[in-house]
Amino acid sequence: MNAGILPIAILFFALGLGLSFSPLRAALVAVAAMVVAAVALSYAPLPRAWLEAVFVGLWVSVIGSICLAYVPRRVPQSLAIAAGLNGGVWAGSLAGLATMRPGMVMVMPLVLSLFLGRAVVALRQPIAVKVVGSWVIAVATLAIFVSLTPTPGYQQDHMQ
Amino acid sequence: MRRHATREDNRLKAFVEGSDSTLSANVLMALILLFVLLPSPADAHMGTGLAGGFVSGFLHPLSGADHMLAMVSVGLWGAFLGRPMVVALPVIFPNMMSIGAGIGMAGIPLPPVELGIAVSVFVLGLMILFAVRAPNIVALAVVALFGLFHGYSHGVELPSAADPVGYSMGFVLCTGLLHVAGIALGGLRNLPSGTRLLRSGGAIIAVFGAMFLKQAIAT
Repeated sequence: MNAGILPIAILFFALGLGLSFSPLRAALVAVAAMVVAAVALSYAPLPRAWLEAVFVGLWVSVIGSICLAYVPRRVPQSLAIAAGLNGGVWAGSLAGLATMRPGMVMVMPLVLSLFLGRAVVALRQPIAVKVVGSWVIAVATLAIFVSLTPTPGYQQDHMQ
Repeated sequence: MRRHATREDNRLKAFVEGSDSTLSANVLMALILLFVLLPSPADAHMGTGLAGGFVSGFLHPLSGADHMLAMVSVGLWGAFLGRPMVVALPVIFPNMMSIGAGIGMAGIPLPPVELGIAVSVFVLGLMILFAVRAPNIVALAVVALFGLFHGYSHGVELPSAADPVGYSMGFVLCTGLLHVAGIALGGLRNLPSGTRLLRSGGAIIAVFGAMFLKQAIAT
């Protein structure tokens, strides 16, 4: 796998942006749920064979997280917390399987993009968050296609 | 501070003019020798040996005039159409591009892609030239179809990139920023004779599109 910590970083960023459309209290609870789930799952003894499936699941999660930004009304508290838990589960699973625990902790602050998103929403420009969100969806869609298609980029060369 | 800066300016001027004794030919020779002897990444065989990554993906849309003109045109046309299309078009294009890339990676054949890309530049140029206010659904369908073609050509190249996620991020971000550049250019409409200027730009894009079309038909 050549992606390194980037998928987890994008998930945290996407989750933060998605949560910027939920009430602040719900968003903070969701972030706490994400942190707990991520740390717990990173220590779970998951089979190594699940790595590719977890990778795809994480990208689907990225799309799901950013879709919170497109919910017509304010994101309900239950949905925000579920999204936080979901993000934590996939990020923690990938970090555990790919032994990237320190990296995951380092990129965790990206979830604070929720404050950036909230500031943009407060300026009555939520569309900017939605446009950036659409780019994140495009990246995630591509990443899913790439991970489902065997490519030279994923094949190990003699250096690996 | 100012005197120091002036002295540095003089030294730089002297160096450029070749009269600074402190940077003699020997020093320059030594520097050249040092650069020659430094191991290059290719010699050291760093990384996976495949071109790719964020920078490569970011630069890719900028490397072809056809892609670049089409992406800027999408933003420009969106600016002509106003809300909600000014936002919807830059949202739909990168996502349809991703789907097109997926089709390309899966090896599903599409009608001649180069022709589709050339048509996209030509048609978008005409839309701007005539300031066409197409119905929203038609504008979305046109841009979605063009996005598919552009994505397909990227997708065919994407698998050969090392770090495909970084590459994808780079080219989606660059595509989005080119749309934003087009929208920003569309802001010229608010200036006196700005609309005429933009429509002239559309004419130039259409001419380029016609050239690409000719090339695509010839091959």
